[in-house]
Amino acid sequence: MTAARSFECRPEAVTAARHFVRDALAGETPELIDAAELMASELTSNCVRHAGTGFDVRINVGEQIRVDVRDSGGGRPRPLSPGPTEPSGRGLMIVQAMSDSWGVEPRSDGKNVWFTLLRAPAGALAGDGVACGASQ
Amino acid sequence: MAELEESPNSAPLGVETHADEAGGAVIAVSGDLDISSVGELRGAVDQVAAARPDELTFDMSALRFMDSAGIAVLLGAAGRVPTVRLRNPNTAVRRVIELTGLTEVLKVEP
Repeated sequence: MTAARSFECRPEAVTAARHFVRDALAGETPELIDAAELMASELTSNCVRHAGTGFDVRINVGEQIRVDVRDSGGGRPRPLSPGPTEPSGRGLMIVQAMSDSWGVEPRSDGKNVWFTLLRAPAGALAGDGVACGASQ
Repeated sequence: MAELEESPNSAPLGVETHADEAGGAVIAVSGDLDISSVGELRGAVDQVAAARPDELTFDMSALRFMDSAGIAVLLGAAGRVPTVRLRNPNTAVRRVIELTGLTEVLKVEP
């Protein structure tokens, strides 16, 4: 299954993109949906905050979940390691920690930032990497 | 526009400031906290911090979603109020708090 939608460059589009991801993943485990929503929020916020362009979100559900966020802005995002009291720089840190894999693909007209999540086998909610740290 | 349609799995942000029995400042946050709604919380924090309280508690029991935009505001509060507590975050919100190292700066209860 693949779902794709284009969004304008405005903060409300991040909220809409989160809803889009949740809806596309309906039926997956709550842990996986929550993780995908959070990472999509971080990547699309970067489009609005840094790239300053509209963006496309594509979700592919196969053996794994893959979410691509493509914008038309320059620059190459990289995860920072801010000190405990520095206010920003945590978005990609979250993506790095929660995804099974992620990456940045420079394009002639911008860039594509993506992440993947492994799907838990039916009946096993605590999939590899997906739910680690969620259970106390 | 389609972008504004409601989804049952989300809610608009709610921010409500009050004082607890001991007179400490409490900001109750509910719904979804992201780049589009974080300004409202920042405004509430500014207002509370201006009164220079010793303690500020964020009641997060009704907060469904938070990303790093919310983390930035919580850290901003921690830089202005001596003791900042986060009360009762759900599993997803707690995970963001832990992943981003906020537990080093803020007290999370329980």
